[in-house]
Amino acid sequence: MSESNNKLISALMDGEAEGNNDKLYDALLHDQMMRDTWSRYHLIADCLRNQAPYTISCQASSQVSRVVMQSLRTEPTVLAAHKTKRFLKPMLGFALAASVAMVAVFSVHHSNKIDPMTATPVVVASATDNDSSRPQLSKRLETQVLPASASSTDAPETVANQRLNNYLMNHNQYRSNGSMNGILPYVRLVAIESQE
Amino acid sequence: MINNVTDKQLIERVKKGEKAAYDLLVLKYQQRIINLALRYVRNHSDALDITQEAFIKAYRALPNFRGDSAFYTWLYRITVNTAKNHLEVQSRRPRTSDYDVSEIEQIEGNVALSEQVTPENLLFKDELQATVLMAIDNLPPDLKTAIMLREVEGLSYEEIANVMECPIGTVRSRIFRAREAIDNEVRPLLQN
Amino acid sequence: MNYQSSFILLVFLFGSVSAVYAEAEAYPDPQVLIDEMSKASRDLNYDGVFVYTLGKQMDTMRIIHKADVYGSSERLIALTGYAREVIRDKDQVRCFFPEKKAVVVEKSRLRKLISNHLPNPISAISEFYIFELVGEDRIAGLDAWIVNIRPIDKYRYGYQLWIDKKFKLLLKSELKNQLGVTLEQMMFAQLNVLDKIDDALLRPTTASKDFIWYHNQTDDHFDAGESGIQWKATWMPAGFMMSERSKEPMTTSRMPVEHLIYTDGLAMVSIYVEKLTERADVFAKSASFGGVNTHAVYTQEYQITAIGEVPKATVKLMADSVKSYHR
Repeated sequence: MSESNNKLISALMDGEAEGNNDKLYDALLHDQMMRDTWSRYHLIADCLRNQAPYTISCQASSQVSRVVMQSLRTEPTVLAAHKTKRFLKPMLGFALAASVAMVAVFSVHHSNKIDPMTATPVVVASATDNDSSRPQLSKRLETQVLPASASSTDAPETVANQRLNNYLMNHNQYRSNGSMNGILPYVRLVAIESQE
Repeated sequence: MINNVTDKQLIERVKKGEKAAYDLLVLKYQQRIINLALRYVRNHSDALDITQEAFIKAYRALPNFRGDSAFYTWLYRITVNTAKNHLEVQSRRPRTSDYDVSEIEQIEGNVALSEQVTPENLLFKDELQATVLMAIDNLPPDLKTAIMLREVEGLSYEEIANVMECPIGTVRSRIFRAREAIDNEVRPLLQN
Repeated sequence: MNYQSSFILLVFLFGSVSAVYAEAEAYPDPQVLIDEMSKASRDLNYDGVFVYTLGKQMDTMRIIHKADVYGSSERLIALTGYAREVIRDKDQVRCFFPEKKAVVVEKSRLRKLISNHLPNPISAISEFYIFELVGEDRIAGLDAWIVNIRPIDKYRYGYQLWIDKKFKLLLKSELKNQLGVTLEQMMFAQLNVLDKIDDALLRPTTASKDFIWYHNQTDDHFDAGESGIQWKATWMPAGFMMSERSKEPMTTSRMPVEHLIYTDGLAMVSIYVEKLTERADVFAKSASFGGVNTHAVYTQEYQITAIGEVPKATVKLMADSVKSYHR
């Protein structure tokens, strides 16, 4: 703690320190006395510009600083993540956008009207909704892993459609899950149901 | 007045993962942010909550800070939004219920946002400002002019050197000596 | 310089500084706005009606969202077509199918992700999308900011979001292709933010005693890669990476289907690899469903399908690039 250090701090806060300031920063980050000086010099500046609040905490290492830094301890160092390998989770924190993923399921399965202009092989529900054999549904849910549904009698494209439909519902479910809230993981159920 | 070079260097360090560097930004801007928050809420403790939340939000959003505006401008905006949200939440939710407390805890983990601030810990601005202005008045004219040109007019060292017709090195030490002299008066006040 | 002059200077300076910042205050940072939106949609109580549009099809739904100390719960009700309902709370999800007199119950769960280290989502995607505040509008009687999320390349779609100025809730969203054509749209017709949501509003209205309840137990994931073969996409747009790998039981498949998920943080692509048990029913190789595109390729034994809300080219290139590795 020396006068020369304080002089450097003074120049640094004005953006007028000469040369490479790395050492000075290192010192500032680890020396409480220097940080206090940094803090007070800025407080003086705030007073001169009339930007200080009505009351001021006397602790140089303020409550704000303590709470913020304590809170950051539990934060991931997100800022460095750009350079390192990242793992992503689909975000779209839009809770509602996730709902929309599920809404799409609703829409597909209750509507028997298919727009012939849009090739949507996922609208298998039109064929299946009419046939509601519930005991079979129950069986399917219990057995979990099932043989390709009615593949011997159905046209090949129906099976392919159903498969694609299942994929789509599964995908939507993950999409919902991916949002921050972990919401709406029930899309698949609707899909299973619609197989009946 | 807004010092981009130092802020930029500090932000770069934070972005490299050096969280401690963020503390210097907090220490630098805290008073101004509390002051800003006090335009939205009356009590000091609410203002502290907003200030803390704003700094934490700013940290989280720092990767998006592109540096095309000053850090303070950006922080200012975050604070204003945080303060407005705070008011919104206050008006929406029943006061004095457990609800608020547990929600805040949920959001912020184990960090108690509003530590008790006892009156003895606080210093009134008037007192501090009077001390600072008094100290400035007692400075030799050269130091006083240098520090006022810097802090109030926001001139660079080079500009001050031009105004005062002296080398930059002289400006650097005049400003430092002025700060040191003021600090000598301020320090005992804070230690009380 | 004396007190007086410095004081005048202070006043002048402070006045002008405030003016500058007042302007900054008027326009929020779009990324901060999106952060606030995520938070608002989780933390507020609201009850609203929205219209979902996909191509020529339009549906109306009501959503009721309750946030409290016990976690959030939600109820979605189809107002057009079958009166289906989905109710989610912290423990379970119940789907009501009145047309079949069935209720399907599944545990509410959070999937395990490869990593808990989750970077700030917005920062992660800001490399591949440009966020812009493009205007103001009025939706469901509420003033909104319009935020545009534009992809930097042709391999992803963009979004336009209308965010309520006051509560920061999402009022409208559009998924857009590269030409700016809207593929899917969700828009609130009415939205009320409430102090409190009555629990009665979260109870089903369509259920009756003769409904049959099905409890789905297909919760557990199979260990990925138990067959000794691992699948991987060898091409993907910049910024995409695998976020999860699992095996999914499917009603249409004898064996669980290998599922790989790739994401850039905003868009998500699923790749399903399924061993074919019968002769491959080589049907539609590509399909579109609103903003979701799919592409399937067939090898001798496997069907590889890529699905995602990304352009056709992206799912095709990704499906084509899938390769197997023996472990």
